[in-house]
Amino acid sequence: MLRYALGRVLLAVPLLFGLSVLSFVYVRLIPGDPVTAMLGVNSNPTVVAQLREQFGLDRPLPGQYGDWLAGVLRGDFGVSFRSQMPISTIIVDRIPATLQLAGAGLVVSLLIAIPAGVAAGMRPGSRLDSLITSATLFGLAVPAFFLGTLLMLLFALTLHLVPSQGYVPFADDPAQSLRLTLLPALTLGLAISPYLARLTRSAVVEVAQEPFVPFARAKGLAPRKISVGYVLRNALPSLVAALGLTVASLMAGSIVVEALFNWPGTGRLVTGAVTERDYAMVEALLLIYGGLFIVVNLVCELAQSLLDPRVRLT
Amino acid sequence: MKTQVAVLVTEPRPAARRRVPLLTTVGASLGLLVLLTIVIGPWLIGQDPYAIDIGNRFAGPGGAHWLGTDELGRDVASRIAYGARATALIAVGAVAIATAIAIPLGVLTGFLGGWVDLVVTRVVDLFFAIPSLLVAIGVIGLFGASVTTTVLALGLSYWPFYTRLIRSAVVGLRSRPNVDAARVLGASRLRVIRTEILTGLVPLVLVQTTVLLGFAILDEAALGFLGLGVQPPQASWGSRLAESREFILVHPELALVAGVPIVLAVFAMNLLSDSLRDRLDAKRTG
Amino acid sequence: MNDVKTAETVLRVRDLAVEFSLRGSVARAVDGVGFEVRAGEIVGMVGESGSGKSVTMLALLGLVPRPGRVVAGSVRLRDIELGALSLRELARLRGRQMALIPSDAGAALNPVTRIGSQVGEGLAAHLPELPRAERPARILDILKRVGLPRPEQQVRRYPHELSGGMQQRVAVAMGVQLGPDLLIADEPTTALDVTIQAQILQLLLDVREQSGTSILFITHDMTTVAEICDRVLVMYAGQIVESGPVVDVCTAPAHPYTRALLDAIPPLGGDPPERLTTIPGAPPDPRAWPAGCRFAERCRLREQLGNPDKCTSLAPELASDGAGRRSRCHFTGSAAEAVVR
Repeated sequence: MLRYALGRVLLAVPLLFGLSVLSFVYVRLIPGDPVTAMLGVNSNPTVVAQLREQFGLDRPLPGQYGDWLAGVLRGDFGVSFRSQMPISTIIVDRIPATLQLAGAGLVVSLLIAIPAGVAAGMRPGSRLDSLITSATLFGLAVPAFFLGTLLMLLFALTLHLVPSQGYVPFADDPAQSLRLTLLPALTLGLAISPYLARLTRSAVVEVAQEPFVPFARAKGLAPRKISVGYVLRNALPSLVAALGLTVASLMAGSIVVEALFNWPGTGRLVTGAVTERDYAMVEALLLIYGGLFIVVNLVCELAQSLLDPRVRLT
Repeated sequence: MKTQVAVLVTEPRPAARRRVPLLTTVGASLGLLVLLTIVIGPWLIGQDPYAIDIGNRFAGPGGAHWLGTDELGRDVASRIAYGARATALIAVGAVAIATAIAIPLGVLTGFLGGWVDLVVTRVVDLFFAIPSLLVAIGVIGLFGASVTTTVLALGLSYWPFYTRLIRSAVVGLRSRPNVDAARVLGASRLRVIRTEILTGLVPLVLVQTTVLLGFAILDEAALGFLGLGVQPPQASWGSRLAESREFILVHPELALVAGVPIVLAVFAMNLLSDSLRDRLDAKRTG
Repeated sequence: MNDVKTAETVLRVRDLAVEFSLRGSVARAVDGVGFEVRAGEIVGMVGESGSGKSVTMLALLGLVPRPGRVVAGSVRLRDIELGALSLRELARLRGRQMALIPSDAGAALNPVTRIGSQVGEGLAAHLPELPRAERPARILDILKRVGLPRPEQQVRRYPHELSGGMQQRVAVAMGVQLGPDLLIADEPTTALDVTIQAQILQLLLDVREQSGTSILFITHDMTTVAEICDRVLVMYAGQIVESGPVVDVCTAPAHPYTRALLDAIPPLGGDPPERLTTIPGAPPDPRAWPAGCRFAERCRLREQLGNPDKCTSLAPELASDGAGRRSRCHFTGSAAEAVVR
């Protein structure tokens, strides 16, 4: 098991390294010069030269990369081209909001998708299954911003149950913070649950065909015990692995949901940095999002093997 | 005494399978509706999508404006119909780019194996590690938001996943007896690829084309909504969302009207790809 | 167990019929099956795959999978009519009064649950009144009874860490732990090595000896039947074609199909035969059973009799000889047999 884990971790290292090269090269791919691109063609040449020197853009590439990577490993992503503030400070500032949204969204989607996927997968071809499958096909077609607008219109603008937009840190005012999280989290959760429900369903269908399921019935175990203790428990390893991939949808979804609900998370930084051509920021965000995705999937793979006793010996 | 009828299992008998499932019909009808909107919608509506009429802003549906007017008094219906053309163009272009990269790369790596496979697969893994919307946003960051960049951005964000899919399908096809037979009979690699592998890929590519078209419509809209896609005032489904977003608290109905065609078009694609997959699966298993 | 014939009836099946409807056509996989199992008796049910023996077994347990359905008949366990039970009552009965021993224990045990807790699930489901603290002792006890070596260690293991024979012993333990009236053994030895097979068969005999459990032993193998069964039911094309005491059926089969099955067994000792008899052709399509005898197409007796019309025009009844043997053939016994010899 330890060897397996080590092997997995070692596989992730070149991936993370490749990602860092990619993010670095990305900014240098910009046609012309990032500073000119940012400030415009008619900018003052002395200012441009000054900025270029400040960001180290006038030095050879390998040297630039080395310095940049050394900084990144220390948690220093450089300075924002736009605001001149340290990028790490800006991002760290935004992380709690995004985590709160993504976490709550994930909980919502798990609460919807797991029961739906299990119900559909336990009886493939049944009426309930076709109903749930059609619902997921429709759900996959509904964009997060559309869903969010509907929810906002209904719960905030018509029923006035919750505020329509905004964010309060949880530590400042927990109750208000949760009230404000409700709609964005519901939007994000509903947007992701069709993917998750389909993944759950196919994992459950596969397990439900195993001989131990009818044998469990022959033993006279209760249906709930069979669907949870046998089917879901055996589908869990592949579900956890699938969950890792769902993180990509969670990230993409949160970028859109943050924009809709004016939620000050890292997703707003992504759109802001691209529109404002703040390349150092884009570079840092690519690395952080990509790195997070790689690490989360690594953790999920390790969890997957922990959940399956058959992997332990190999 | 009569024999007692024991019904030990209470599950209902499944309804006899209809020749064409209901969902396929729904999908095909919706698809046709979208197609009609693209082809004859602008002509049918007969309004200029760019004609500004400030005095007639936010007009409700009715009269000459079937779906009312937007924040500049432009006809919403015709903006959606013209937008459909742009969005369809973007979706088709993006899928074409992804396919043009994925098929050669997938076939090459899957068929040849060896170090080519190893290297390319690592690169694919790397791109796969970045969520596709982020790849798209990255590309747009490089070249600025426009119709062309949106096509490029979406195409480039789909290829890693698509290449993986093609590669594993090719690996599966390569080990089939008919491929072995062709090799034994002395067919060249190129000929085997052409006759056995590429034809074997057709079902997968058909299904994936519909799946990706749906994705592309959704992502064009998402990029537009974020202000990173097609730029207003140019009409597209995404840019329509960007425009309506500014007024989302006062006129949320504009955002909803802009969203409905997206939902319908993508739902059509999902239904069609699903029934296509079912049909091809059924054919494969006999 | 010598007075089996007078012992009370544990299981009585009458006119059982199971249908599968798929894409408009209906397949009657089990068609009017009726038999009895008496207390302490081991009854073999033999047939090729597709003969309906597995579906019969599932119907007894109330576990016919969709789109299959029991359309007629009665299954009575002791004095309980199973068809009249609710799903919940049926579930309570499964594993307690009627237990299954699966064909491949390796696949039938939950791979992610340790042996001990897996055996304990049955106790928790059927004996909720048993204090939790007493379960471990009960579990060890039953594992010891089925001859699992070092049970204290095995309870902490996962199924894949056990050998095939040990897995099967665990499955038997799960079947017998609540003292069922009827054990249904579904080819419990097919997945095992020959030596292990013999051990498991001996274990089943021991179980019957110790607790007088009746066993319905499902198999495709006549040899196994001859080894452990008291009576045998031969199934073909969804029906019972012959039944009777094992010794009688094996020494003097009444139905041509049974004879063909026995001829297909290589004899022990003596010179190997020039060639083993195989049964030509394939069983008929369950979606369209033939009008006459279902075995007619493949029947050597019919051929030897000059293909009488009766075989293909009239369906034979399962006729009893009054001495506990039944056979479904127009030409069984006397005259016809004499002609062939």
